[in-house]
Amino acid sequence: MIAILFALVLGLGLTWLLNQATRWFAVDGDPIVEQLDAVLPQTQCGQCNYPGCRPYAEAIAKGEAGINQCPPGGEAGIQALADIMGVEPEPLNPENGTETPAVVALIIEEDCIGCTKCIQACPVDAIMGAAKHMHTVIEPACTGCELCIAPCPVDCIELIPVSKRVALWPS
Amino acid sequence: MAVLKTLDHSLNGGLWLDGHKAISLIQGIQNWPTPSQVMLPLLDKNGARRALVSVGERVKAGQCVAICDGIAGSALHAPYAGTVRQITTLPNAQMVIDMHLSPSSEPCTLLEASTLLQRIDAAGIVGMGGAGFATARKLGQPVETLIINAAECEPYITCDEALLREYAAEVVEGAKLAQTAVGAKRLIIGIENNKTEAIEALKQHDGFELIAVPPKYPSGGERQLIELLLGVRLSPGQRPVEQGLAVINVHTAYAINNANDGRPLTQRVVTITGSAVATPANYWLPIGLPVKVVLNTLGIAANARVRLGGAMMGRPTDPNLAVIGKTSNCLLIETPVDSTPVSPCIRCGVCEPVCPEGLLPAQMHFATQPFARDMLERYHLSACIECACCDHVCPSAIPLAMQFGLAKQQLNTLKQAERSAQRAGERHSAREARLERLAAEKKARMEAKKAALKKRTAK
Ligand code: SF4
Ligand code: SF4
Ligand code: SF4
Ligand code: SF4
Ligand code: SF4
Repeated sequence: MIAILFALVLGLGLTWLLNQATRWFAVDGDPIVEQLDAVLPQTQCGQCNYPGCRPYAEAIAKGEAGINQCPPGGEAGIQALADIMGVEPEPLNPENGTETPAVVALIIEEDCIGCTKCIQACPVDAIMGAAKHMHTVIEPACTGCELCIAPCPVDCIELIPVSKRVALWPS
Repeated sequence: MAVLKTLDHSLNGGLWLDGHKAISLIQGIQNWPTPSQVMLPLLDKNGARRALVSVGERVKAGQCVAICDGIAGSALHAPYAGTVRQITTLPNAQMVIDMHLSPSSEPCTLLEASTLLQRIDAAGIVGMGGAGFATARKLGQPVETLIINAAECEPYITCDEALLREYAAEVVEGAKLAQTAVGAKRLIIGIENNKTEAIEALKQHDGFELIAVPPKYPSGGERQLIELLLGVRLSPGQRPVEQGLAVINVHTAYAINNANDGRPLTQRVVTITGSAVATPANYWLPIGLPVKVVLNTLGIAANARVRLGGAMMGRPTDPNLAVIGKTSNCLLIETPVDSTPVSPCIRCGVCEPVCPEGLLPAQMHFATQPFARDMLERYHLSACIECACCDHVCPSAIPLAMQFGLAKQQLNTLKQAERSAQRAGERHSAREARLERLAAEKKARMEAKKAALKKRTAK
């Protein structure tokens, strides 16, 4: 009898403790979305058909989107998403694009007419300039998302490979 | 007269290696004939430089030809007068200013800078022991103790020892200048106890503590020397400055003394040694001297194997592409011999006790093949100083230190990409928040206007 009572009290006590624990250590936001967002490349290019990496992460978490829609993340990115979601990795969906070498934007400053269109397009505030003045790309902040290319009325924005920019330590 | 203090404890791990040093110390430091061409390297591991000269431009001796915008890099100066022939990228991705030299009677251009730190910066001085980090940046952070690293522990390399034998006064002078620049209370010169002639030369001067350490490789590793001299063990990834310490190399101290007199860093002492060299010796080589010129001048067979740096930490180099840089302390040139073929790890464990950082080289080796990031981080890959002690004892002849070096690079690249992705994410959400706020403000303004209009019409 005492043994049964003891087990009951212990069980109830531990249930209460577990309940409290979930309250004490609660995580703000949806941890799956946080985890998914953390492995996405943050290029914010929209090739996944969502207006940025976070919305795409939310869609994956809800099961609305596949894990194979982010071209900048490439194969390694899909693997990371698959690990979090506990599913098998699949090849990148060609409808979203292909994995290409990393690039950064470069504004040919002599040709810029200062229309500010590129600033409005850049998702990560990587362009500096003011109306009727020359604009320039803040190189370390540019994710190479290409969103500034189309809006430029004088086609003065080019993409250059990151490998040409970064000093490679000769091996 | 400095008093010599001799330590009798040696470092944990490490190896007692054959020195092979006497052969290159038979003669004093030799001069090198003025070459007809130099290739001044624009890239190094501490940052890319921007050329200040253009093709066809006439350059004076000592003129600054390139600067580095990054904080770890250094300026570069022409060792001799000449003309810029081209600025080009070599097949090993090294960018160089290719200069054709023409003799000129004009004196060397002197630096113009007011403070000592500015002169060190303008002279392009870097850690010449191998790190290549800008010395002005290092000495810009005040520390309690400045250590001069004279414990040249690599087999074969004797450039610092040769420099101390002949220029001890200049080295000590440079060390004292560096001490003033960082505001250090203590100045210690740490040297291996078998460098007797260099110790004698140093004893003629004073104003510093002279401490001799046992000649066990790698006593001259920065972290190892700090622990030997002061008993302070840096935690993995911790920089000496966090413990109030700075360490500079002997040749760097010598260059600081030169910079104080206005002379930029354009040449250094390089040990040229190895089985393929008839008379091994130390030479004053200009920065930018192509290694193939060295081989041709010394009449060395074209099939010789060249390592830039010593037998342990040096790297095999293509002599047709390599140039002498500010950190090139040694050219080890050997006649080709059949090396032991690499075989799989037999888990014999002999690599563990020799690791001066207390790592597990065999475990790390398995984690690099294939690259397993979490394992490598668990085994503290980033604490590996690439000393190659583990290689040296491995019966399977696995190039462990090279694998660790590559894996470290790979890990750094990954971390860098993660950091920039995180920053991009933050900038993106900041922008979203700003756009939302602006839209809300605009809406509020419109509504206020509407309300005001209603009020007026209602009156
Ligand atoms: S495709 Fe990838 S990088 Fe581009 S917005 Fe979508 S998740 Fe971000
Ligand atoms: S500058 Fe252009 S390519 Fe770079 S992040 Fe902004 S919009 Fe994208
Ligand atoms: S869109 Fe083109 S022209 Fe307009 S500001 Fe940007 S770079 Fe200049
Ligand atoms: S190379 Fe790295 S792992 Fe090998 S002995 Fe040296 S510090 Fe240890
Ligand atoms: S010494 Fe070589 S073979 Fe032995 S455990 Fe280490 S890596 Fe493996």
